[in-house]
Amino acid sequence: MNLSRKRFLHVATSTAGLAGLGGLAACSPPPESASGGGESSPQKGGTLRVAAPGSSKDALDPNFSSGSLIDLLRARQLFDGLTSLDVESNLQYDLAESMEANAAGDVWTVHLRSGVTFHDGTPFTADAVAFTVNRIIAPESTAVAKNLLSFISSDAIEVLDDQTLRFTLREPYGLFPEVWTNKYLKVVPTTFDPAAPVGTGPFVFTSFTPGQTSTFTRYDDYWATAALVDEVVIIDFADNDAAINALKGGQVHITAAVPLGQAATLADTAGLHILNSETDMYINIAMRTDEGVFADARVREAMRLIADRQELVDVALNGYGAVGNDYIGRYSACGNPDVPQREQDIARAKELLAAAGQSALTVDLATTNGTAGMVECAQVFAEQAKAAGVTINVKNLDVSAYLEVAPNWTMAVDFFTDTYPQLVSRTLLPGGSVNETHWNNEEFNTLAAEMFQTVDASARCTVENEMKTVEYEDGGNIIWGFANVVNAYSDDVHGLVEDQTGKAVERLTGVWIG
Amino acid sequence: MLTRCLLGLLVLWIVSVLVFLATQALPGDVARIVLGQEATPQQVVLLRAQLGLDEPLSSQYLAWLEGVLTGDFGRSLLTGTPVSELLGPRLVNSLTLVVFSMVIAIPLSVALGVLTAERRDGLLDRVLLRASMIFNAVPDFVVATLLVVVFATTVFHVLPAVAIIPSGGRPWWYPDQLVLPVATIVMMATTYLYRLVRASVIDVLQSEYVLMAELKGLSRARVLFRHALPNAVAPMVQASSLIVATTLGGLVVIEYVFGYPGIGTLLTDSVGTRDIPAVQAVVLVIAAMFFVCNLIADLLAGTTRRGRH
Repeated sequence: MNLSRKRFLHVATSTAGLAGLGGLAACSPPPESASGGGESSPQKGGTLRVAAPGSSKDALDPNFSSGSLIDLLRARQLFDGLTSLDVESNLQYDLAESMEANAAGDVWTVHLRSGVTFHDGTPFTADAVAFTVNRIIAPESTAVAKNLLSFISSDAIEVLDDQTLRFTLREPYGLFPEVWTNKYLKVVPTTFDPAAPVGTGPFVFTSFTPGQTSTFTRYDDYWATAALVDEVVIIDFADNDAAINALKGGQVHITAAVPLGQAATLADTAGLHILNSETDMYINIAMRTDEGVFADARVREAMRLIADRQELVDVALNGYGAVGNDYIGRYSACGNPDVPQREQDIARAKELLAAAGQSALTVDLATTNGTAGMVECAQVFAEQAKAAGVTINVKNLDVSAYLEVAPNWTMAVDFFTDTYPQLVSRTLLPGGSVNETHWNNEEFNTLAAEMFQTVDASARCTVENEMKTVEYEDGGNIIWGFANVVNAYSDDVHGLVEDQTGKAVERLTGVWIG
Repeated sequence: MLTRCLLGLLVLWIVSVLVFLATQALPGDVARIVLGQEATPQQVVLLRAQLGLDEPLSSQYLAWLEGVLTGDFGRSLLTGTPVSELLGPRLVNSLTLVVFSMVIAIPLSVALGVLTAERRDGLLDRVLLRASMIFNAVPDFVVATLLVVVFATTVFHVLPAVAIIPSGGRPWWYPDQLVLPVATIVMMATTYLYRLVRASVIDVLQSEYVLMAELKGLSRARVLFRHALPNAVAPMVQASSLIVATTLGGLVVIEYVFGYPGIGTLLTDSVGTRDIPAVQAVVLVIAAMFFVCNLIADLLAGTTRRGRH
């Protein structure tokens, strides 16, 4: 008996052991760069590892990007735009030094920063800007940004010299500098090749496998303050929980997408911290105003009155957000329009529904997991609607199925984060690229045209507040709340800053490990 | 043998048709995914035409089939890279997991099976039987998640929670990333297989020729090794091949939990982005491997049955 037992175990374990060793003996892992030391004042060095939700549709061409979180994260490291927004949503000049308009506001002269170089050493000049704009607005271009630059035609771009460009627009456009903060409008060189992307950004492309990882190395000749870490590795994750596990296990330093329900737990976990940015990102419930049951403004108002906004923020966002009032814009240099905060009023909602003949309204609400809180708010809203006799069937779809019909759903949840003028063009004007509500309000359209053409900032503010008032009264969106963006990071990461634009995790030049 | 191969090919063909129809039936397509939400309907139509998605279904399928028969799996609709380039490294990664797991699980199952058969109702036997019942009842992603909680995130921090294999790397260069996925597969497979061995060995130990060998005065070791085990092994061989096959199919779940870059995650990713050529290729490969495993199982079973007495 003793003999046989020993022999069995011997045979079994040695077989297993040999197999394991055989595997290990095959090759040695490739060398890794050394990581930083352990102090808490800014220090150079190390490889920063960031987890973000990604898939095999990842791409590195900033002008033709699908706009996913991970694509934008990568683009920000490799490229710059003419202007950008800082952490308080203020305009800042990056590759452009200044922009000035003529009196009419239809001819803009752009002065570029000098001494900037691309990663391949070639100087950054006006030719690169012209090239970038032309590739976006070309007739055969499928770039989404094409719609943003519709006021520019390719024969109206003049390169005056290496540092100066002149744009002659089809009509006056007062918000010209703001347009260039858009995520799709990063500048690429005339020799741009998506397989080996070159830009002016703080990091240089080293390697990339779509759906898996990308590695970028610090660019020491960056025109602004160079980054502190030696390398940034951005790792794709299909699942947010796996990303959080990787953070807990020390495999990554930062995770970009944190489900809001887990934020509080992570904040309390030893060795981890959360970065809680209050942003202007809103999660709207869009109702079509052109056809169907919501074409009647009374039904829309009823739906807006059904929403218990504080409960939605508390449950769908776990408190990480603020209540909204059915118009876009949480922070505005123009202040807020003078309208009362809409509160839940079930009695009034029922009255309105009865007047419109929709007392037993049943409707489908489409949603998808685009950002934390989108699916949850649909479920909470459906519960709230029962009190008013409205039956909402929540359809939680995968992204492909959702996009198939969007932006033509009768009622759907969506989320947006962008500057006010961009949001107006994209979502509230007829012909906008994501005008989900199919809104076409004459008063609003006229006011918007006025706003775009006004160069004087304070005159613009008056118009802006009038527009928001119209939105509040007649719009198709229920803007119940603004969501915070929460990221999580480990103890040894320093230099992340809360960002009102929600892009805290993209700003990596000031981050160090130690 | 020839008829089996032909039947196998027929089954593979039917599978490819079914998967094609199923993926086409899903709402949404790759054009929308690539262009994102803001693309105008014209841009979507343009891209669909460029990708050949507006052709009738039958011609799309036949074009793909023609490619496959000449060894060309087509190009990913998403990135334009040849599907075989996408599939190759991922397949190597998945097979690494399966091979490492089976190389540990099979000898371990034999060892445990024989041990517990020898010492039936002993302590080891009773403990293992209960553990095996629990593992067989619990889905593999629960086991995987438990292992992650114990060894990676909450109780101990000794192993990685997620298998991060840098691009271009080979999985065996990072053995610590493989430990938890392999452990999960081994635990699920062993708890099933060892019981087959055990039952089979118990059965064989009661047969007449074993009694004869004992009466002849042969040592216990000789009786077990030379006489009982070869005959007990037959059902286990078939079961092993089936376990390999089901592991291949079930890799989707394990790979997803660990974020492992194998064919399972390639499949979930491609279905999510509606990248039809990639989906077709992965399913075809998995189906073909199933078929081969079953074929091997039957062949081996035939050999051992005619084997030594």
